Amino acid sequence: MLKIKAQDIFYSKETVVHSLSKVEQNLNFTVESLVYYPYMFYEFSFQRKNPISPLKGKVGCTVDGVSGVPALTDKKPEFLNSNISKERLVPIQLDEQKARDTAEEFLYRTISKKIKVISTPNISLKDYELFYWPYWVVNGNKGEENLFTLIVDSITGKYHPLNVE
Amino acid sequence: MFNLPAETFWLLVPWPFIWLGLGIFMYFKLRREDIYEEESK
Amino acid sequence: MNLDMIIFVIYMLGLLALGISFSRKVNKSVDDYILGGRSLGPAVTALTMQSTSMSGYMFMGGPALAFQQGWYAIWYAIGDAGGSIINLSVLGKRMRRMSELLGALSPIEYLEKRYESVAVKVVASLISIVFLSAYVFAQFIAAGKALESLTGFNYELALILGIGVIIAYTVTGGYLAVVWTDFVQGIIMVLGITGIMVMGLIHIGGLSGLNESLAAIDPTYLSIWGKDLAYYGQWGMVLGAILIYAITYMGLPHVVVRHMSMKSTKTVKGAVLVSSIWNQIFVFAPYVLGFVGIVMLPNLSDPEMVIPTLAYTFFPGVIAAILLSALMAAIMSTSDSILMQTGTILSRDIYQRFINKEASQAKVVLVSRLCVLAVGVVGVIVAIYQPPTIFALVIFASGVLGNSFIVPYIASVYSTKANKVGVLCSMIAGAGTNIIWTVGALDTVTGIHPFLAGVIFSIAGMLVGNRFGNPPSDEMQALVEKAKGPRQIPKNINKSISFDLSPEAKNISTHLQSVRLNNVEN
Repeated sequence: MLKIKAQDIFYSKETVVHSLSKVEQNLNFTVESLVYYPYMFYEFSFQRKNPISPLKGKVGCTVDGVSGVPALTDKKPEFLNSNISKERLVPIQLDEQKARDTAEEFLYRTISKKIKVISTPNISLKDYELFYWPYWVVNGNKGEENLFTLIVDSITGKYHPLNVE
Repeated sequence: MFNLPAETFWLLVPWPFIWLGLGIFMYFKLRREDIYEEESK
Repeated sequence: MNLDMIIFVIYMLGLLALGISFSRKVNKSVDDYILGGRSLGPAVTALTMQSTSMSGYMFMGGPALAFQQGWYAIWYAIGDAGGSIINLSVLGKRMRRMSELLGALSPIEYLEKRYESVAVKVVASLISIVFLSAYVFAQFIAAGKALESLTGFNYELALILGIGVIIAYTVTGGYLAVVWTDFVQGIIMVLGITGIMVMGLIHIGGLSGLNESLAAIDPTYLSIWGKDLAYYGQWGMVLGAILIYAITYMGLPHVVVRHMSMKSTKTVKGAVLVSSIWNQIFVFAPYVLGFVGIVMLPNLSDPEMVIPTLAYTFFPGVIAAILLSALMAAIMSTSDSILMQTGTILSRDIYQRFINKEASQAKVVLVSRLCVLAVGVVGVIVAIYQPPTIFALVIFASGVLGNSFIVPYIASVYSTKANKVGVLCSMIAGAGTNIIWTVGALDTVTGIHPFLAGVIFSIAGMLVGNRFGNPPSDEMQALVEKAKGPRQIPKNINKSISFDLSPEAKNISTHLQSVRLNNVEN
């Protein structure tokens, strides 16, 4: 068992099965497990010292802990301390320094596209968390036969099939 | 119609309506994808 | 200083104030992150999207073409009115999935990663920088003409002033680049165009009256083959005219800056619907106004001034001045985003990547700024010594961009075997053909539009070039398969798949498989 920080589940097992059944009534859905996916969260404070239009605030982004792809985030996620068995954690494949550099580079790039600035903006790291995001692994079955498997984001409800070869 | 020669009228005028139709179709197609999220709540 | 100039200055200051007051407001929301962004509702989103594309072309280029060619010009409008919808329906999903799986943050990065080739990146970057600049030059010319009208200065002086303002605006940070200023401008321009249309059509007797008058001057204005039947039977020209806008939308895909939100967000379906409706009116309007110009302004010396002249004819000077000021602001906004793109490509994709890997952020920003200044200088030279028409420049620039990128992007998701050699040949053949065709005026000889010729040769380049070189790596081929979408999934489930979870799905699959293997071994 490992102690980690995780986002709390929003859509329960039952709700997920219920909603999916509504979408496709001919199948039955069973939840196989709950898997936790790693992300590194970075919060930077941002300052544009501009006499005419000064800007000060926070920017946040996450870096996918497996593929290293950065993404903007709109709020700081809320974490719960949890104990999860190692099997359910998707292992991290990114080293921390690289992730941090990726986040910084990404933010500079995004800032220069969205809020253009006279001089390079000052951004400094204010907060960092390694956290896990829970996904339900759900099987779509017709009777006894398993047709396909989905991961369902237990917070946003979005889903995507797994490609189990 | 509109004092346009037939060739011009029939080759040009239908297009805005075709695009509009396609736009409406895409609206409903995207709407179906959103409905799933509505059901979950 | 005449009244028009005063109005222009007041307008600009007003926008500046609006921009500043809104960026100050952003500071106050403490909880959310600055760049997190929230949806503003479909109407506002659609109007701001529209505002950035309403610019020099719409106000000056399009009407000029219509003024000179008559109803033939509508072929261009048809492609333009349908382009974004086609893009959404045909390419949208697969390409977004592919972008997610590749982890690409820009269209050029997408190409580099998919084709696993630095050469592709370099060629794509160079073509983009040159021809995006060419597109901006068209905006510069429009700005010069708008200012010439507003200030009464001569063209050269107005041009330098206009370009100076645009460059200064871009380099110093684009304070006006706040959603709400685009929204305000959009409203002014919409009201302006609508107003002129209504007045014009009433004056002339509606669409029927317009056509009757056109026929009286020269019946070939009403023909789909152009004035004097210049393009009679030349379906190659017609097809090119339709395709150039319809397909060019696909040329540079909408690569999303991936956004992880804490709550799910809805699709932009409302914006799609609003834009479709919107486009049908406002894409065609400038051309109709060009026709009105044929009838009402027979002695017009510069066809590109149809709309400003009509504005001054129908409305008191103040209103026309406001409209022109809005146009000027829209041009600044459009130019700014394109100039920033070229600056970013040069500074990050080329300079930082190849020339100076350890470059500090300050240096990267500096390189970007210098690029923008350089484009400005070249723009002044081009626009003063050999000013092409706005229309010709837009068609040329967007044509070359389309010819270079459409085949590589479509192939990236529809063909697992598409490799870097094929793509390089395709980009070079496509761009090269369009350039040669345009400069050599080969369309008059062959009856084939330069853009259509470019499409044909870029496809040929792809097919021939792909036979050489190595096929994409196994991993890449697997990714392309994944981007195609899941198979054997029931239709209803399939419809609502969120492709932004593709990378997670891929990685979780791998993890679960290794867990199963471990369990089997144990």
